[in-house]
Amino acid sequence: MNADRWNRFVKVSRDDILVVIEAVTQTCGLLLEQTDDPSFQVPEQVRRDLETVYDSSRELYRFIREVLESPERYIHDEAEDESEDSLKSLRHDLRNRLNLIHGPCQFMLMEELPQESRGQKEFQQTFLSDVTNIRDYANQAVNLLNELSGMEGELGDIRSRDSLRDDVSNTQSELKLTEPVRIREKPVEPARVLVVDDNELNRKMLARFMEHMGHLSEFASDGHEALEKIQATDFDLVLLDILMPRMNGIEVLHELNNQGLLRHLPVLVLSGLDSSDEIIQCIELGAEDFLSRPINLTLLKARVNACLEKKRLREREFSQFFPREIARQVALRPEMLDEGREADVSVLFCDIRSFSRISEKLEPEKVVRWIRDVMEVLSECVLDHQGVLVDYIGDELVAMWGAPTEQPDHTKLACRAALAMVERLPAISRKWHPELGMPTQVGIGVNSGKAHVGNTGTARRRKYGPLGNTVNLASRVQGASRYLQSSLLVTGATFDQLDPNEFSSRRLCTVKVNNIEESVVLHEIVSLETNDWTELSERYEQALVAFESREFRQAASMLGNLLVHHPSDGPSLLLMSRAVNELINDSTEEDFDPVWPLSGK
Amino acid sequence: MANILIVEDDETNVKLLQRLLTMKGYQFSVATNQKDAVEAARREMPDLILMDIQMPEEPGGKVSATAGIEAIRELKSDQQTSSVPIIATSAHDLPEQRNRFKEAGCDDIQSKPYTDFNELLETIERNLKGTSAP
Repeated sequence: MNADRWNRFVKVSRDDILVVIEAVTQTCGLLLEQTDDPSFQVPEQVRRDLETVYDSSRELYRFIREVLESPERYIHDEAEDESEDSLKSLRHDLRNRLNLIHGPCQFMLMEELPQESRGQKEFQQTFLSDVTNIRDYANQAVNLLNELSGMEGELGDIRSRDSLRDDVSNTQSELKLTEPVRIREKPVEPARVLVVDDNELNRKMLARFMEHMGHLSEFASDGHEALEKIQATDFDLVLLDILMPRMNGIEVLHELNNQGLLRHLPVLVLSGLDSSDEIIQCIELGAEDFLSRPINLTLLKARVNACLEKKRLREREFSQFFPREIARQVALRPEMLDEGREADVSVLFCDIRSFSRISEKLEPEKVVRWIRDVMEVLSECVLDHQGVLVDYIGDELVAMWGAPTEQPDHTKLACRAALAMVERLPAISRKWHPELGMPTQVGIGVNSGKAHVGNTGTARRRKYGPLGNTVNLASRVQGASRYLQSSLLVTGATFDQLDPNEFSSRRLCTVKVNNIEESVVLHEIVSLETNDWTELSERYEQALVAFESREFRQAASMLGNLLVHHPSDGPSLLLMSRAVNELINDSTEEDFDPVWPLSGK
Repeated sequence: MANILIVEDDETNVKLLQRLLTMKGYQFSVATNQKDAVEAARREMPDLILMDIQMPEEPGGKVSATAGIEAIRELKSDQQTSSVPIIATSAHDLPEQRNRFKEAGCDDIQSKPYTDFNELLETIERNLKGTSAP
């Protein structure tokens, strides 16, 4: 053929024929994967047919690639070589090979699959529509070859050229891809995979395979879109095509490399180009691995798993201290922990009560087990509510919300975690009661505000956490919980950001703590299931208002009544004693300060 | 039941045809080159021949793009075999190529790939009944 025809052949082969053939390979590969599952029964003959189609399509793909790489064999001056036109023999070879796809497909479509088992019926539908798709892809390849030869109505005994063309464009625009039947009983932890390919059919096939593996996928159809998506979302893996319009895969790798994003984001390069220069360039730029088309699904699966496994190992390191979602992001960009910055956070301190007393009574080994047991539960509550475990200091746990990643609802999350601690404590208290001879109790303080977050340890021994007044105050509030005989106290700064309908609470008092100038409102939060809470909290708050307005007698009498029904309500007892004190001292307006000074740390 | 001679050099294609013909209850024999095809036709007198075009001229020989055309000519010019219907089955399907098969004397043409088995089976049935395509 002459150079013009050759160029057309190359274009159509690259853009269309190879794509549909790869779709055959992959649809078929996916079906083969599914038939590996013993719960889907497929006659042996059908399996062999699938294997034939799979092998033939791969062989055909390689054949075309070889043809494309040897233009010298096919480009001649047509006048010189009339009888044995190379395009004709090429066309013959291609059509002959396509027969090995068409034939088995038609046999498979005649087969009746057994339908006894559950899921089998569903599989039968997938199977039929997939095989039909494979046949349609092969038909499309025949049509493309016909177009290339400029055949006018030569397949006319079947269809007219126009209807062929419609067919080609239809199949390309709305691919009838069926949902894969899930064959894994327990899908692996789903990963987020970005599939970057300019060809829709390729994208869909890859996405389908990823879904089949139990992952979630998103698409990008060129390099620019890929970069935008990678910057906006944290992916676990990128499957990157090389030949793309606008910005090709190598340019994408360059850019990712420049932005330092490749260190922890595995990229698998997929391409028809397999000149070793390209591969080396991709790997040097930081791609994790390389797969050439047509993609062998078994190999792809192995590489994807290897990439994700490596990444998960890193994440596991961080998931000791960070909830999974944040661990993922930290594993991607660990340097985010070193960058000190100001952030809006909620800080929680939780203290295990009576630690010193119990330490005196119990053997150290038991004390350690007890503390570890309790800390385990407390830590779970933190991580389950997307909090960061900042530190354990003896009998105290410190947690934070709002950093390293922004959490607009950090106050809510912190309070939920704190409540979960309170609610899970009775079980562990019952477990340890025989050993300790006393209940296990905690005191929790939560405060919200600005803090400096970053590495608060040293370069040698990193410790990620918050620093500043917000933190100090949270610690003091925790200390106040003991004095106020409450399990869970939050400051006004935290409380004001909560949805009052979500939590049962009461305003306890306004306090002033050592070394902190401003007075702080404290609220108590209790489990929604607490008995008679509405009555108790309303009556307490009325008494508090009376007290703060110097109506001490009224406050004392209200509290007296309240204590008849709730004799062990610590805050009521305290307020009562303060009201009585004011009465005894007969304090004047100038003397009276409704703000309670809290001593100690 | 009708006996069909499959002339085809590609093993997988042979298997495909065998499966299809067996399924439909035909008997068949196979030849994989021009020389064997002509001999088998004379010896067995099949009811129909499916004739590939591009194949070796003799066992182990070089593949020729026209071996099938030669075989058709030979069989159609021999009184003994001239009435056996021959369907040219080829992936060569451009108009001028099809014309050459017809000039050689084939009764019908089925181009590869066989995108529709029913069509292939209909063509076989039609030629077995002696009513070749218009």
